[in-house]
Amino acid sequence: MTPPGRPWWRRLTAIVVGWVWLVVVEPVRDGRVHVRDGPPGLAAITAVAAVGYLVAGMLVLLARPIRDAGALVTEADGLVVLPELSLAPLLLVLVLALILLVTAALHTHWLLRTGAYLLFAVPSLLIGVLAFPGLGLSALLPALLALVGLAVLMLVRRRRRFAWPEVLWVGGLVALGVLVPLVLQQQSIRSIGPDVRALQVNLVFTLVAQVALPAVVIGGAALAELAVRAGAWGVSVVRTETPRRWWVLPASAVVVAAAAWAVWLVLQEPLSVAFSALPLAVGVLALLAMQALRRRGDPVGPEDLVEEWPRLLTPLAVVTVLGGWAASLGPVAEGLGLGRWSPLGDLPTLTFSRLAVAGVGLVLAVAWSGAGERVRPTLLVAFAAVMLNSSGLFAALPVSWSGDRLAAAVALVAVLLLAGFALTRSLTSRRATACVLMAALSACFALRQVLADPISWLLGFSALALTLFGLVWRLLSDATWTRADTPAFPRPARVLLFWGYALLAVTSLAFVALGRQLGGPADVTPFTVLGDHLFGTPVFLAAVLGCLWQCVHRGAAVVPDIAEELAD
Amino acid sequence: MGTSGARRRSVTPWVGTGILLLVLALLSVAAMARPRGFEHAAARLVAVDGGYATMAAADGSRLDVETAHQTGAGALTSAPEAFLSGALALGWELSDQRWVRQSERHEEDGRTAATHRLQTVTEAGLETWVEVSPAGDRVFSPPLPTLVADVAPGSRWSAEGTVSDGSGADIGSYRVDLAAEDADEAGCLDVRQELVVAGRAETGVDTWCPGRGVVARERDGRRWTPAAAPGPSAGLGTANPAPRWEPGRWRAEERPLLRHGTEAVLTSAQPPVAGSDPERLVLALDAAGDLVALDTATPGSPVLWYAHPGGVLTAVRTFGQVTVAATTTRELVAYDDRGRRLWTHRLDDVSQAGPLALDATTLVVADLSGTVTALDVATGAERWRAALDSDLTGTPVVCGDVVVAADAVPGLHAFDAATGAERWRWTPPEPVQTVGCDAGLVVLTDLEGDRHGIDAGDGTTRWRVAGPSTVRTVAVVSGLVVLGTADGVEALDAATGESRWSQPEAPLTLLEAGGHLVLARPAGLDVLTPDGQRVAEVPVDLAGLGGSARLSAVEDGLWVLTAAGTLTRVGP
Repeated sequence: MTPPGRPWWRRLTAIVVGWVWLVVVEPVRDGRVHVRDGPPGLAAITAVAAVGYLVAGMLVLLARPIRDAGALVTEADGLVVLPELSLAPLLLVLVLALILLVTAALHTHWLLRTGAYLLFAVPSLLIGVLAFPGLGLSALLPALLALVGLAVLMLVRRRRRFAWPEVLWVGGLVALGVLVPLVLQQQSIRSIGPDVRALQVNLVFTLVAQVALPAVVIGGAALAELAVRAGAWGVSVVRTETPRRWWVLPASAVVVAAAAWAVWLVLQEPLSVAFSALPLAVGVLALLAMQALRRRGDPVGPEDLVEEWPRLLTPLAVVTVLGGWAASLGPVAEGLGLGRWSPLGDLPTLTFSRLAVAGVGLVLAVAWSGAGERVRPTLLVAFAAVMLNSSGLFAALPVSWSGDRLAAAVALVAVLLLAGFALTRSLTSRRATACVLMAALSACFALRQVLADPISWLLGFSALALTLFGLVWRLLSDATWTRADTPAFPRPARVLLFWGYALLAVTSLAFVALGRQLGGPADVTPFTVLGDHLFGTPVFLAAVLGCLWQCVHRGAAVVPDIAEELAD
Repeated sequence: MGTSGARRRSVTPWVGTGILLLVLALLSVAAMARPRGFEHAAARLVAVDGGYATMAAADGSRLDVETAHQTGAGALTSAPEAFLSGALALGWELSDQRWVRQSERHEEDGRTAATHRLQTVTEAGLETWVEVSPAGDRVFSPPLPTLVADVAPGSRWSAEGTVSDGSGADIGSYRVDLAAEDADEAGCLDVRQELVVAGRAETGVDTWCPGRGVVARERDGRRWTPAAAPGPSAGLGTANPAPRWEPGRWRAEERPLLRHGTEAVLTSAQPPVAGSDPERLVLALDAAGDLVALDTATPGSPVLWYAHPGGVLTAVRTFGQVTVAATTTRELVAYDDRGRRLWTHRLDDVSQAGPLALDATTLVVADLSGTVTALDVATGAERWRAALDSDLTGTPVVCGDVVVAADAVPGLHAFDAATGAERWRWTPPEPVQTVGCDAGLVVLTDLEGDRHGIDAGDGTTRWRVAGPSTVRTVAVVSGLVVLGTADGVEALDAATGESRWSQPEAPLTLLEAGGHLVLARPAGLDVLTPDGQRVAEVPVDLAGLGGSARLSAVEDGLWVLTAAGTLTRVGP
């Protein structure tokens, strides 16, 4: 029964190796940080950052044994209960992240410099103020000295090229401004009585780690990106390695499995699946509208979408997180007696902010589509459609939507299209492959959490595992932008910013894991879920829209060319 | 030269950044490490923080000893007044002292007497500074050397000095002679003491064991030896009376705690709680981790008893005459209404929410690891134990005959109140935020702000309502679901989830008791009926309490700890 040519086991090996290479190895090879040809000292700084990342990662992975091993310390209100053993390493990686971020900002735009300065100044001054009752002015002196020193350093170095000793100078100033006041405060408060160490770490963490939220959100999209990559390359590799007459077997298996799962889900939750298909419908309509504006279309393959998505992801995530923060200003303003604040009448502020982000995305999509682009508009249309469904506009409906249910709807659409094309005798090889790809994408997207299961097993919590997986994947594969070098944003600054940000994000996760704070006020893992929901689903939806595009247009390559990719 | 210069240039950054990492690590450790205490023989004999020993004599009298390790001046502010006044009178340096507080409870013929000692572990050994007993206060100068640093079998030591009372008035001189010898139990020491104060001699033997402190004592021919805990006294009440409120006549009355003749400013992360007797109040003070019981019916609210459960208290609850404290030492510690330790239960992790009443004799507690345990209130005996799939999220609730708790998977689990068997589980679409219930309905809010009504009997979904606001509190009362949100208060129909009424101002705390709702606002308390009608408005200063108010319900009203740190009784 072995197909002619190479033996079946060789083909199978080629499929597995090729698939793993394309889905996992190649993104890491292309996306990791390169420092070998960087300025002197950059490699050493990167190594120190990597040590910090390793420490923070181990704090996440070993959170349970660390917690069980020793004494616990808490704030006065008992909200944060941390293992005593973890306090110093947590503080160390937080301070290390702060040093990398501030050093990175020395040679960047003044806005970024100001932000970094404030990021350092706020905790530094606050720690000094807290130690003031016990120590008087001497508590504030180190912080003030460090702030003046940093201001001078920023002025002196702003037009110079990066030099590795900068990290030592900034390190000394951050130590003076944060660690020395903490040591003094520790002694000052100890004389009064209560143990404030957990409060101190929590304070620094709360003030610094908010900046890490966009990174956590972006990390949430990693699984969906991998799922789309796995689906697309999976179909491609199998089709390439399988003899033409046998190709129908794995293709049918994928379609039947996806359809069976989708039918089962529809029978369970018919309304929810229908509601979850709304972004698909909105996306199709938007693409049709754009097609009406511009007749010619370029091919859009899933791999193009996955390649492009990270570049859009960061600004979209930052804007979305800022929108969420703006939404929280309403209750704050009300609490301060400034009255109720909602920019769109009775519409909740969160709904408004998400609709606004979706609207901006659509405007950009139309503009880029007009310029002949297809990839970014497709992604932005998918993003806008997902944001529309997640905005809360349909909150009154008794059903909820999810990416998994959307995947079920997509699988059903794929089957219906296959059947429709077959019945109308218009089923071409390209259309069949596009429909199989849709089914494969649905299956991979629905099963994406399996990728994080080994870490889940180790940690015991899927939320922590998902977040850690996303952060590590971003660290390994998302540093392409650090290779560019512009006067406004030189390469060393990019590398340091990348590492500082990554360190901050993984430290915030360690804080949650060590404090057993899942569901608590400091829990960052919901932002991973949010990232998966708002930024992972669009890449899947965009890939599906790309497949639909292939079904109705000629001349487009439906799956990536594996030979070309492996040759690269 | 060129090659070595290039090598030096390439190595220098590695050395420099390595040194930076090392310096940062050392400073981080310095900022977060607490100085290790002395590790001499005397220090090893002192009981651990929260340590407890119970002893009995042949005549039936009992002696209980609790030990606390505390730091700085805060330890003295929550202790007997003589500790602070004695320290101030002698001009001691209070700051940075690592205190050992030993509280003895002597019970004989139904009468209880307490003796408190303020001690420190120094280079010289364990020293006693102040002793407060029914016979009077004694401040030793220099401190009495209870144990010398290198105490061992055969050690002999002595000291002389003066003794004053808590106000600094001279009592006379003292001389103490001590000798240590092997005790019956291996590793333990019998320390014989002959203390002469103002000509009066006191002799006795204390048996010290490593990490356990005093475990046996001999005084005036009587000997107290280690004994099993006597168990709860007969007729011990283990259920709080149900609130029967008539808030129309309520007013606020301050019941300040007088310390050294002035009103004390109390700081506590926990609300004051009272059980069977609403005038006997129990407080968890932030300063030192002590439990303090007050008689608020007497002017000045004198202290009834002090207790040292150990660590920092994360939650304190009362069950009739029993007070139960959860601590950061992963323990649940119970006391009766006379301050006698009833039992200690080891938890898998800290309980932040504290225990809840399951029925008239049983409490249930869930710790952060996700272990849910039901215990007998009076004896601490375990009735059942269950486990969530992962860490606990939010606060568990008792809903009729099921205990409902959420985990981080996320999942909602209902356990049979009688057996702990899982009755049903429900998978929320998003991580759980808050859970509330009555006997028939469980209401869950998720991180998206959606509200879900779930049948408490079988876990089926009754309704779902979307809502973008962050929900802090959920109460189900009289056919209504009342939500304290970041935007205000909303009431939903418990049967359908439809909105019934709302109020725009977000309360600091929403409390449901006695068939009423209490909304704590910065300027005072609003008492509402479940249908949203205000029936009382009690002005109390609650501003500046960091987002939540410290208040608890009692039979005929409320106890409140105001922003100014004053105990206030709200009631008829």
